[in-house]
Amino acid sequence: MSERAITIERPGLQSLVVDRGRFGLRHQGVGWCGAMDLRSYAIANELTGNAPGAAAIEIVLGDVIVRFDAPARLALAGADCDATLDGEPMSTWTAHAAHAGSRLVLHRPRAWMRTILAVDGGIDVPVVLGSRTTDLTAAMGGCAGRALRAGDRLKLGPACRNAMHASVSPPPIDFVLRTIAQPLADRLWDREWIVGHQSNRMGYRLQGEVTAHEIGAMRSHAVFPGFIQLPPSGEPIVLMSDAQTTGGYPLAGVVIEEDLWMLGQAPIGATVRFVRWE
Amino acid sequence: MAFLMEDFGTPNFRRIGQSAIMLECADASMPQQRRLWTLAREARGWTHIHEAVIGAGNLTIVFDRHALDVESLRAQLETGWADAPHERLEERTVEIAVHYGGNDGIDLREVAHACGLSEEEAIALHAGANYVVSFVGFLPGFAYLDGLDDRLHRPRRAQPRARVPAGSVAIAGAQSGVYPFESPGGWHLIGRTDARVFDPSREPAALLQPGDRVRFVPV
Repeated sequence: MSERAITIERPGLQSLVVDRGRFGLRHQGVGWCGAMDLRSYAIANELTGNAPGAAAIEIVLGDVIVRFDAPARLALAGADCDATLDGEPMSTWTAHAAHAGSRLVLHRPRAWMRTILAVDGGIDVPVVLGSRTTDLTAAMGGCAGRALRAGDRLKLGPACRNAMHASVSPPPIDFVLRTIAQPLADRLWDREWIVGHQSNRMGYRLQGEVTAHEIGAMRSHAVFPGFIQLPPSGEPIVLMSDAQTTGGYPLAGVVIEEDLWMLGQAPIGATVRFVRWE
Repeated sequence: MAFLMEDFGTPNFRRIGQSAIMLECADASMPQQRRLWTLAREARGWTHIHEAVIGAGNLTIVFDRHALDVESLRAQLETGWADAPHERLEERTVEIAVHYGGNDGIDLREVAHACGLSEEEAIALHAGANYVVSFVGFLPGFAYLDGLDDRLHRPRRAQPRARVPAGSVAIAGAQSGVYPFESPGGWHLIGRTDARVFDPSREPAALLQPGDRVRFVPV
């Protein structure tokens, strides 16, 4: 019986082992670093019958090949990458069965940004400070604290017996983000924002109709994923999974937890809007 | 005694987002900060609290909003603030060996010049001061150190650097700090240390904790 594992043959632009996040250590400066699209992450785990916090692989813009070294149940959620399993088309948002030697191929997606690959049993990398997720800043968690490379072999946890669903419908996505107003919220509403080039797992920089503003002496305070900061340029930065733990820029709003996943799926150049949420 | 109690004032509360509430003190003075250290440690022991993060004169609590009502949490924090004992945390002094200037501290010359000092004088002032960890944030293990000599106070760099080397010893405003990892940063780099400021296999992982005293030792 071969060990339950998968091997990365082609890692793509950036593939990371992720889970919900590394919690309870922000007072030590440690970020959450969870999946950028927690909704797709949760769905993919559910489809494979995993416990909600099992580690999965987050893939940016497809272009990935994975070999299964043992039979496993797998599911893809998020960006549709025209995936094939042993050459046969494999639908996203649906559980599938791989056998020892199966090859999963992901192409470039036509929409969305990130795909979650969940495998039953979860990716069994060591738990670091309470989580398996990758922290690229501190180079810890995940696979040696870095993005996956060709040849990386990842062990899987014990096989799961049960999955509740074989398939789900993709969640609708409109890039309209419900937002709780903070003091500078008037600068957010009623305009379109373009996701800028300097957007990554730490934060999304948005471009649009902005007004530069003076920032007085600010006292640093805690910040979290979903916080919208307004630096002096007036161009909003929405903090994401790998965000720093404290910051000093004034806040314009907070994207509600239920909607932040959409931003994790917004490619550079996408248009997003904020609407007031009470 | 009454006038002593008033010094701490009543903190301000601000709800931020669905699951976070921030307690803001009147200022970021050391007595207020000491209270925050105590209150934060206590709050981490309460049920349904996910995070208790200290800033400069503020404390933000992330809570389970399905299990905890924000008003009762606020009341708990008010009581906790009023009752926070004046006990001092166990005082520890951590010494950090620093290679000052040259390639290890590429901004030292400019900082010294801007402050009207020689490089040697700037080093003596930085290494001569007693620092206290005010809070830890920004990056894993990055400690904000109060106690920088007035003569070395400089605003942050107008243009932050995209890459600051790991171990950089830096100053900005009234504070000093050590970059645990290579990262972007807007502080002035005056030296470098080989000390491991953050190590996930250590307990606690961050070398410097709120209340710790820190001294920099030139090598």
